[in-house]
Parts: sequence; C-alpha cells; structure tokens
Amino acid sequence: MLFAAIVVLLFAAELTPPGQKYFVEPWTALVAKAATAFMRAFDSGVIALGPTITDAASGFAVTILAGCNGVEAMIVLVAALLAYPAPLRHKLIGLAAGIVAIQALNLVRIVSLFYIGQWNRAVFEWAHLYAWQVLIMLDALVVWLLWLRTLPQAPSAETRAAA
Amino acid sequence: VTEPRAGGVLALLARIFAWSVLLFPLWYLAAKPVSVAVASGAVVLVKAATPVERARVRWVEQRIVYEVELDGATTYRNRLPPGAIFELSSNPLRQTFGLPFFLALLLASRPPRAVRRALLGMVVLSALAALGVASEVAVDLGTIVDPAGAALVAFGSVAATLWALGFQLGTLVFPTVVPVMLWVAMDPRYLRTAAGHEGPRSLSP
Repeated sequence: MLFAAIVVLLFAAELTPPGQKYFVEPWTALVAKAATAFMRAFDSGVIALGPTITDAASGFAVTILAGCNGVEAMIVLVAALLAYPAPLRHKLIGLAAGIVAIQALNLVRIVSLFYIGQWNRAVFEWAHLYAWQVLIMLDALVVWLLWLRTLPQAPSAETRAAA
Repeated sequence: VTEPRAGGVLALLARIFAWSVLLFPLWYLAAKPVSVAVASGAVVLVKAATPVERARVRWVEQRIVYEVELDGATTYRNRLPPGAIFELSSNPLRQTFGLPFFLALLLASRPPRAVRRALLGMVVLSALAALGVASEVAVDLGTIVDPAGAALVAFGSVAATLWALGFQLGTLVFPTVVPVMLWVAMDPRYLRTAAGHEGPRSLSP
C-alpha cells in the first residue's frame, strides 16, 4: 500500500507543470546530451539539436521525450526502496546504484533505437513501444531484488529465543 | 508459502526472457481479438463519460478505427448533420503489452494456483488498458474541430487534464508498472526469500 501511494504521489508530481519544468525537462535534456556525447565518440555522423539526434547521412532523427528518459522506472524503484523497511544508508546506496543501472540501460535503449530506426522502421516501432519499455522496468525490478539481498538479515526466531 | 523455484535473480530473469520470447509474439499474433476486446471496453467508458452517443469498433490495417456519433445536444450545438460520423483510430497494443509481460513474470516464478492468478491479473490489466484506450479516444475526440477551428467537444480543463493523465498512465505506467506490482502481490516468495524473512537464501545473483 505504501509503495502504491508513493508511486501515485511521485507520478502525480512528475506530471504537474512544475514537475515537468524543473525535473523532467532538464533531466530529459541531460539524457539527450549524454546519449549524443556517447554516440559521437564512435559515430561522427551524429548531429544533436536539443533533444533531437540526427544521422547526417540518412537524415533519420529521434527525439528524446518524456517516457524515453527512464524517469518512470526510477520512480518505481524509488517507491520500492522507500516503501521497504531498511536502514537509510542502504536505501541511499540502492537509490544511487539503481539510478545508474536504469540510466545506463536507458542509454543503451536510445543508442540501439537510433540505429534500429535507420535499419528497419517496423522493428524500431516494436522495440520502442513495447520491448524497451519492458526491459527498463525489468531492470528496475532486478536492481530491487538484488538490493534486497544486501540488506542486513533480520534475526530469526531461533536467534531471538537464544538471546 | 513454498520456496521459490531453484535459482537466483538472474535465473528468474532468464526464465522471464524465455517466456517473453514465446508470449510477446503470441500477443502480437492475437492483436486483433485483444485490441477489439479492449477497445470495446473502452467504448463503454467513452460513451459513459463523453458526449458520444454511438461508437462502433472496426479493425483496419493493424489499428482500431472508432466510428463515433456525437449526442444530439453536441450535434445540434455544432450544427452538424444528424447522424454525422467521425472516425478516430488507435493502436491498443500500446496499452496491452503489459499482458504478456505479466504472464512472463508469473510463469517464470510459477506461484501456486498460477492459472487463477493469471486470469485475475489479465482482467485487471485489460480493464486498465481499456481505461487507457478510452483516455486516448477522449483526447482525440477533443481534437476534432469545425471548419472555423473550434473544438466540437470542448472538455473542461479538469476533464481534459484527467483524460491526458489517463492516456499517459495507460501507455507508460499501467503496462509496465502494474504487471510488476501484480506479480509481487501474487507471488511474494522471491521478496521474502531475498530479504531473509523465511528459509535459507536461494537468491544468488
């Protein structure tokens, strides 16, 4: 219940005009810049104009919008970390590791979609609309399950009885 | 509560991928019945919440086409010919890809009474997908304009915001977040074992 409440609260905050202006838009611009910088390291034909990344040779372009920035998966992970009873230090470590993991995979998503789109539009649509959305959420789920393993173990009933 | 199936998080992930490879193509092959069913549910919501009198769902070239007829008051106010039909279209797969995702999660962990849980989850996800599709149709409805550029169906600011929110949730959140939430709620063994709340740890990354 707490998880659902935090998810709803954070999604509502994300969708408000201030949430969009002060968090989503700057974050999306940052994601676009990171993706462009990454791609230009090995592909000089990549041109960036704001959140739009264009291939100079083919003219194919992708625009990074809300929904392509990994924010939804981060919100779910934040809610899961906050809702689960754990020491604050563990929550912060989980949060940092989770954001890195989600954004790293999101970078792979953007780069892959940029090249898939130049190769085959139907596969691009499939990967963009369905496959990558699921993969990013699976990433958040796996991070959370692995994070659970790092938590200090609650003493078992036998240990408590012996003490 | 029984122990989770053997293997750790990565084994679980491998099983999720394996089931996804099977289930996503099946869902895509069943695009027509899935889309028509969800769109038909969406039409009920649209008729209840917007000035749409009648709506018909058709499957045309991998998309759903809605033939909508506005109610008498809206038709009269906009001086439309009686029985004027407007066509809107959408791709309900954008709202239903949570179905194969949820089933892949469930089949990968195989909880007790998996069939019952799978059916329950599919009902929940289909209902949410219908809400998302209805929101998309309502948003599109608000974009129909007369020759002078005025909207035929003018939603209030709150209603317009809610429909836009429903569309966002329907495409971005319901198909991705709700399957995970349902899976965690229906099969909490991985969580309990991972957190050491019961039995030996069986989750090795």
